[in-house]
Amino acid sequence: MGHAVCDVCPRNPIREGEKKVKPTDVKRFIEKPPEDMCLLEAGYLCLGPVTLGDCDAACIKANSPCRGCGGPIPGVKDFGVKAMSTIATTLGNVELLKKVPAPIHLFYRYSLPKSTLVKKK
Amino acid sequence: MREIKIEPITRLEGHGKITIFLDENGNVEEVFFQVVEFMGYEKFLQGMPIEEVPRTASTICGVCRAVHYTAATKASDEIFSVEPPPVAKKLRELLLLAHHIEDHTEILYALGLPDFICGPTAPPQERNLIGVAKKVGKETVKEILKKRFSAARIVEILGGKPVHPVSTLPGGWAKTLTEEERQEILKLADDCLELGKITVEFFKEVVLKNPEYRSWLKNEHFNVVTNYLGTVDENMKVAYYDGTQRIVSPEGKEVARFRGKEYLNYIAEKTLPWSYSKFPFLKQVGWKGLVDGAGTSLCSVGPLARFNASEGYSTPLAQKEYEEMVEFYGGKPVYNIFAYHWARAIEILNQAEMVKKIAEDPSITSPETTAPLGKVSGEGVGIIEAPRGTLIHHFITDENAIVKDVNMIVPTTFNNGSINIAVKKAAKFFIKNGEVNEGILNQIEMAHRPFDLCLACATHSYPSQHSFTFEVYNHRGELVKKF
Repeated sequence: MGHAVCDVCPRNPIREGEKKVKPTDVKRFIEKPPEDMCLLEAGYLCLGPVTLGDCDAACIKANSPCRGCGGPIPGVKDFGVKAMSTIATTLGNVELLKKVPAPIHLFYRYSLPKSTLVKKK
Repeated sequence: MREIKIEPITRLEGHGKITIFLDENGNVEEVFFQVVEFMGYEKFLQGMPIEEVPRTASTICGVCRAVHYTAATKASDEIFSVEPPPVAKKLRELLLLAHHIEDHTEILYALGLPDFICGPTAPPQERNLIGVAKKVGKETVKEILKKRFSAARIVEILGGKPVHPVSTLPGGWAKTLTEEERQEILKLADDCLELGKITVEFFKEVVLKNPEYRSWLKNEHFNVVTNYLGTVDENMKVAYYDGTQRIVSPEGKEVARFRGKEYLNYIAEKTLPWSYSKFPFLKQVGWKGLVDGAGTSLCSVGPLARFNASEGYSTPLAQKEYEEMVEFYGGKPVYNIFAYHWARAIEILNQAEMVKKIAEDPSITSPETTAPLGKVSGEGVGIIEAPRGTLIHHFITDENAIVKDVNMIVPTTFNNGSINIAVKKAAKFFIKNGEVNEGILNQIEMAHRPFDLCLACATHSYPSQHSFTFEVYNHRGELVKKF
């Protein structure tokens, strides 16, 4: 309980004591990702770092990026904001960030009604 | 005029109600079947990249997840002008077939057959899966559930999760199946095959050998005479993942064949002010209203429609059962709604045989699961057979394959007209001179269960003439305001 998808993901290099490599491109899920590499490193915008991992990283084990259906890890109030900031930090490049297609559909697929962006103060 | 409401109707997926109006003599004058929930998937898929649609559309319903997933996936192939390699097609078909098996099993044992096993007028607290376990034995039910789980496990192996599969790509499949997984699927397929055999025999034992139920199977009051739509392969046998859509008339004659976008030439949808769910009809016949019989414009889908629109099943055990059913009715088409359950049982057998055949093919572990994408076409249609019947997903996208417009015609929508007629006929048969009790109302409900309603995804129409009624109750449950 309380672990992120990355914490239980067999592809996370940090779990093996290695460093994560910054992605060099933003890829849409329209080509087959490598089956042995961290999907975020490969550029697939996996939301594993901010999503609860009680699923045991089921989607990544099926070679598909996490989309956040498990909800946020503890301490995160707004899933989309946290996901956006994590992905932006990971990419570390404004030009790459502009390549994210339909960001609302990605970052808020399961949590828009709870977002502070649409909720009344 | 007296009004009787069955609300909520039970043992279905989703929320609905049946309203029956009796005339001054207490006989049925009019009956309405209505869906009382609303989900707008056609709206909120707009703006999404098409490759993300299958795994999102699969969340329309936890029950129907693999079917929406597969239909949207096929549409995404068309959007990217790509033909998936044979391995990917086989893995997708395997996923769909396994889904059918576990879904049909649930419908038969938990929703449809308790009426027959426990008795149509048995108290509701006994007319359910627990009641079934009491009647046929706990161990038998446990064994059936265990075998159903084998089908769900196949879905999990292929899709990554038992619910909401994720491993598809436009033009292919993201995960390479390992040899170990293929061997596991082969073992699970044996369970499914056993489940199919048990279920067909179970249906015969419980329904065909009971004189009252046997008479219902041939009683014209339970006939809904419509056109029938199903998918067939090149040998005119029932197909689920891929094939040609075929429509036969109430007389059993072929009236249309189509693939993909051509559905627009044959199917139109009527909106009625009292329903969130539309009423599809045959375009060439024109809307004739909620009437069945010769000349009707309504078109049923589902296991019995597939049975009627095809010339049998592609596998030997299921084909044998098909011939027995045709012989029972003395020919085709079969109109009796309870025959849906029979065809459903035979389909489990057919699908299990198909799963075994695909899993026996060692080439499905090939890593060549994708094909190179082509140009973005901007339009894609995916048609597959869901457990409940033919499912159509139609997407329009921009040049970046971002969805602009969506149309989904789901099986329960196709059957909307037929369900209304079935329920009305049952109400007329069972209600006489104003006499209504719980047992009679359940017998009326038995007329919707063969169609295996899944109502959430059937609600797409929100015409402006609809109005809401808000009712405010206080803590004592008294109505304080209505507007």
